[in-house]
Amino acid sequence: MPGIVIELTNRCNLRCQHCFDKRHSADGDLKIETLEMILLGAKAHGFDHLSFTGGEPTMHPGFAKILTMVCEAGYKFGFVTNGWNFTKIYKEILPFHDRLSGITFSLDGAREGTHDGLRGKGSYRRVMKAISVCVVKDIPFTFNSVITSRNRDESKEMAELATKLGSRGLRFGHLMPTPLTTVENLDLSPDERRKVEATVWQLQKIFPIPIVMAPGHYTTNLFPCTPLQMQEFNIDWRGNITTCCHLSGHGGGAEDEDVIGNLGKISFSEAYERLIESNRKFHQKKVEHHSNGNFKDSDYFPCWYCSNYFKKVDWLKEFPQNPWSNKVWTKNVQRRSIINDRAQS
Amino acid sequence: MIELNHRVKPDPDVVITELEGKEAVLLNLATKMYYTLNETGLRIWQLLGSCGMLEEISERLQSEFDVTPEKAKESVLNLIGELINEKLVKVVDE
Repeated sequence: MPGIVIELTNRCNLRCQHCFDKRHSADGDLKIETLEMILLGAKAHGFDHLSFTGGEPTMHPGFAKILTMVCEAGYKFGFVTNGWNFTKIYKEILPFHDRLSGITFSLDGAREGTHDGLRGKGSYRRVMKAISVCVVKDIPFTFNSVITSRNRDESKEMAELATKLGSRGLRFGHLMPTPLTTVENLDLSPDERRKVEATVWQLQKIFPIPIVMAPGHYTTNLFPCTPLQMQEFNIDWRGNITTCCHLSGHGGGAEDEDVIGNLGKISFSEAYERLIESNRKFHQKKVEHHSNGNFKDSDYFPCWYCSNYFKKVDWLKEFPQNPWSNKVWTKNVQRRSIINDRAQS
Repeated sequence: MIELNHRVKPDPDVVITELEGKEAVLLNLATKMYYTLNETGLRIWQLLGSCGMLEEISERLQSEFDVTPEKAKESVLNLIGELINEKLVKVVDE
């Protein structure tokens, strides 16, 4: 289902240890006019589903109005939430039940202490309250879990928990390193990541609900992600079209390296064309990078590759204790890529 | 056998979610089982949290829901019996 991921706001009521600072810096909310542009332009390009993220998307002051606009325009929708406010806002969703694909709750540990240690005291029980509402009101929900050093051994417990609680699925995703995740020793090394992935692939076979890894897991497929296949379009709260929701707000000073354009300045169709061109260049450079001998094994983690490509992890060189620090592309690699570009032009 | 002179408290592993003050969902984190409470059940649960004495809860139900003492007693003891069976509450003393 081709979809658009929209960061409604970068307000958030939580300060999760693995989040990007720019995802909760409370700078602003998506303008309603920008949403109108999206709703008018997206269907012509085959998009019929909107996924809301943040920040905490339910904190957008016009959340109820947004749902009305989206549904009246004929789109389906879903959103990711930490669940904290869900018992207050669920009534706003009920009128649009038939247009709701599902709600994804962030749950970063099967155990209360693990989840709360990452997300703040009381947040686990808030998720449990939220899903209690979903069960009674027949609202479909799934869980999303970011793999860290704290919960790496809880993946089977997570699968058991999700199954027993009536979740329609469970998605694990790798952490994107930040200075705080480094200080808190949350990052797993490439080998450690692959061990967890192996567990997840096993869980897929034995549990009755869909259990998946989010894009970003180790794969020799160079272009595994929906944004690169034009099946997903990402828009941040400022109206910026960005390459991927996983990169949005990431970067330690390089947050805008992946911005393609702004819907305040260009039309949706123009943005779409720019994304096609940006992806074309990305494809070309990744194939070159792969074939010229510079590709490291760690680059088979697609989000890691993109983080380097868009210069979002240069800061990691200052954090040698992080297991990914020595995987950051060196200046030599970047220089060689530039030389290749020039040789071709 | 549970009696009105017992004191009962919610199990700390149980998460309650009230829905518009008229019903509630209990989720037992130990068993991952959900339960629903109607309006009377919700009121009993709320009173368990504040006082826990079943006799006092029964008296409060009589006044709040305009029911006979027998009916209030029956409602309290029946619900508490079920809650104990499902390990959603604990008898703290007699």
